Amino acid sequence: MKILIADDDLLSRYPLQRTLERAGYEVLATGNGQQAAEILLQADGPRLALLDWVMPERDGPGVCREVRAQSQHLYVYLVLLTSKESTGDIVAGLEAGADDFLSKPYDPEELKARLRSGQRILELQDRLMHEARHDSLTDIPNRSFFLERLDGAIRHASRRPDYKFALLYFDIDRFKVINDSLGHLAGDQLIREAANRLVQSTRRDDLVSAAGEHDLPIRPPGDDTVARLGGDEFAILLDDIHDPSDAIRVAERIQNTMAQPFVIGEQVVSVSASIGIALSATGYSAAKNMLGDADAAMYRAKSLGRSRYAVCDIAMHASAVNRLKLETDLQQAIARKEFRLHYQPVVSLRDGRMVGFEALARWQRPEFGLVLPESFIPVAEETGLVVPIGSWVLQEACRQVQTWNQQFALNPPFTVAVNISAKQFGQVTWVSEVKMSLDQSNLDPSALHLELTESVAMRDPQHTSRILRELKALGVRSSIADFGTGYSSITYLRNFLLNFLKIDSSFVSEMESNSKDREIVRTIIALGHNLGMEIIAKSVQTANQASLLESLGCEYAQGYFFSGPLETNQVTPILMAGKANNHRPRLPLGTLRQLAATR
Amino acid sequence: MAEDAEHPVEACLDYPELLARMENDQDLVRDLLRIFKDEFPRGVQSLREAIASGDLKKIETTGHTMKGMAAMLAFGRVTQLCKQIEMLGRQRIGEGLAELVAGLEHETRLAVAALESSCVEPPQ
Repeated sequence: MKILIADDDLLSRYPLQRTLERAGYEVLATGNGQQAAEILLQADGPRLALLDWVMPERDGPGVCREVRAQSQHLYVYLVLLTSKESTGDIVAGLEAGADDFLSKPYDPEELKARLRSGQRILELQDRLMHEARHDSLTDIPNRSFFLERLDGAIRHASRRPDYKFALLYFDIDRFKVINDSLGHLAGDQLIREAANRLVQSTRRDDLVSAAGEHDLPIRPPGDDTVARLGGDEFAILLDDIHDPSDAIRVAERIQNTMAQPFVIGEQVVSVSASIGIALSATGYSAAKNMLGDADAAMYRAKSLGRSRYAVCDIAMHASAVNRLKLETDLQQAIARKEFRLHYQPVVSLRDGRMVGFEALARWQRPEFGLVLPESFIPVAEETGLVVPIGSWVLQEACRQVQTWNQQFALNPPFTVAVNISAKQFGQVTWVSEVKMSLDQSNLDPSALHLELTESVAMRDPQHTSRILRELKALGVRSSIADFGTGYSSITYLRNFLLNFLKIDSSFVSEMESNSKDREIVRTIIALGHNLGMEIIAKSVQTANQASLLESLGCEYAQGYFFSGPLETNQVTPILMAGKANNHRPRLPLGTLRQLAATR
Repeated sequence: MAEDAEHPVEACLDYPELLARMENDQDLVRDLLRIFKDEFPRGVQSLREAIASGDLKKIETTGHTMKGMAAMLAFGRVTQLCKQIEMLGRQRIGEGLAELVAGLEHETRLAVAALESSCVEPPQ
């Protein structure tokens, strides 16, 4: 063990050095306090020091203070050598950071015993430090130690633009299944062995032979950090890489190693791993962001199929940032009243007259303009924001359409179709919310059409049946949208209390040219009628489609042939024109087609 | 060296204690004696200069350092005299210092002689 003696008195230092060398210490000696502090603060400096009280440039207590000020540095055990013995001096020495005292002239046995005591304390500290920074199962660095290392690498990269590193986030596929089927002890053993293989896979000195012509630089082991983040998740910091492909090569190597069977007790277990890679080139400023990106990439790898890796590149990072902004903006959009409803007319194919509307949500997003539902509803669904947005849509659609019904004394009233999301449909308070919207708006319940997609309806058929019964009791009508695109069971369809069936646009658009699609449309219409439903065709674009649908017995249609979705102030003139003729407007109107063309 | 009734050899040098501290390394003791004979007279010279210039602070620090050197070689009387010099310096008392330094020189000669006779070079 290395020890420093700092004493300017040769008569004292010389025998001390002899005694310690005889006792097996590697002795460094200086007669200068400033030099002593510098030696002790070197990266691999001595962990034990004997410091004389009075020295040139810096006295013993001064050295103690300087060493203690560097709290990042490994603990150094400091012994003050002194012929001073008053309590005041001892207090001053301890306050400066000394651990022990030895009075001169010292007794060699006492000296050695005191140093042994110091070593015990250093060993204990080292063990505690190790335990605090390492995972107890695998004895590799733990999450907090890893984050420290990662922060260090990020700081280094910000100072040295040519320095590159990569972060690999590793997860054993289906670990839970293995753990549950073989037991936790087997799971622990698998984790230990996996950690071992990871450490081996990242050693670049033996990677060189495996990498062939794409040799990685030979480097001392220990620069890379393999850490267990918890459970079956590990992270690897690949230090000072030349190119992102280095990280990919290591990922592939890890996957090859993991593909070798694991022998756990008497079982042979095969596992695979998913790896997410984040690169320093993205320009991270915090370890947790980089770890989050690597984690996201790992999940992407998993979703692509197991035993894969995925790189979180700058584009992926940008899309994650955009998505985050979308969520934040969406959260504020309700309070800021940024949602609008557009109304697409629905016509009766028998006489071409308007019977109602489908209400369609739009988001007037600052800096982005008018945003269509497909760009924000998926995120709203995932975050649950679709529930408050859907409530607003329902209330507003009822209110607006009833306003028109009253204003133009329409009888029977115009109907309004509102789309229902899976999250809304699952809410226990949902039916009472529908009732509240009707009560508040005074809309005739039969004028409200709630549209479910096949996938929402089939998610929990019993729940769907119950809700549809409750809606029927309110007098509200229901329809199944996008029919033919999902998996509906005819049995359930028969039992669901549905009033309308909406044919998906894909069949309608192809029916003129494709006889198969025409037959599908005919079958859907027949099926709907047999189940007591009326049929609505979506996305009708041409007069020919409209007459074909009419000839097949389809009752209603909507689409650009009649009118695109309209803003509120575009609807009123159409209704006024209809009123002047003492009739519901007949579509298409020349004006409407113009309006539609401007959408 | 002859016995002296006023300054017995034991009070001048505690050789067994010194040898024990040096872990019976007589070579080391001889090395230390060489260093002492080189360094200590400089201290005495420094004390004389400090007395001449009335620098009592310097008397204190030099006395302290010399006390450590003498103690290291188990020179009992010399250590005692250095301690008295250090104390006078600390209390900023100049009186009697010159006499003490003269006594110190005398005692040092005795102690060094005592140690030299104790750690005779082994026959080659």
